[in-house]
Amino acid sequence: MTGLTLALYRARAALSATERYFRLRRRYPQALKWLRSCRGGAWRTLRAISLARLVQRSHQDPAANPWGAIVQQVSIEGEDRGLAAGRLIALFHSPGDSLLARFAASQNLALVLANKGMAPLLGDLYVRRNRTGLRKLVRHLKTGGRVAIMMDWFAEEGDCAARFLGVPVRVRSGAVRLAACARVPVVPLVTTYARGCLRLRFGPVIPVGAGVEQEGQGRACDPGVC
Amino acid sequence: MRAILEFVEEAIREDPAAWSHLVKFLKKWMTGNDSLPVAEPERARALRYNDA
Repeated sequence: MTGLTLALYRARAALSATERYFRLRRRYPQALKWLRSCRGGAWRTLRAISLARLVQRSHQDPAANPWGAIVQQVSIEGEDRGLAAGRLIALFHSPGDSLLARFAASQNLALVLANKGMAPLLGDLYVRRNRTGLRKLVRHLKTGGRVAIMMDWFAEEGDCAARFLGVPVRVRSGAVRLAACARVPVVPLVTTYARGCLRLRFGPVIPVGAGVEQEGQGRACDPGVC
Repeated sequence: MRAILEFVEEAIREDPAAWSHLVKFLKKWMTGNDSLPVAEPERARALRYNDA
């Protein structure tokens, strides 16, 4: 990305952040209060989020953006770097998602349960969100493969009560139950992209056991899936 | 589940731009669903029905 393009993106991100700041102040003061507690304050945080979104959109098309032009370095950090066999990688939506998909496809990193939009980027690693897809994932995990699933599905009907960012939430525990079915641990992964560097930060390896049923209000694994 | 959320929460606090859905989450979960303002299309539809 050239310096001029980046400067234009920064200007657009600053405008967008200002607009969002005033909208949040008017309608969602509690959300703004949380953002104010971030390092750098609310406006800077909103600007960083807007900039990350703009950069992501500009990088989504593989034809227009060959890999080498946008990613000069891939940094992988974490306990076992998530690359051991038989792991369920828990993802959260991030501005680096499309780049992560392209990296996963090139390195055969993991099968990914995703929506149709990611299929062209993932190629053979793409798995559809249906019963057949889930069976395929369990088989893959049991034979020592790796699987990546988005975890940030917060919903009123979510079956696991937890606290996130200081707020009581309900989370769908499907991904963790899938890991329990295949008897593999879960590794959380956070992806960021900045200045040509794609940073994959793997969390601790979390064994999944009997606690899943307790957290999932006693729901056992679906025998049709396992 | 909690261990996963704790790790991600720490990462988001370090770099809020790491999670694309942060602002959406803050709006929805910090405000409380009951007090969410009515979305524009719904309000427009309600006005239209009232006129009819």
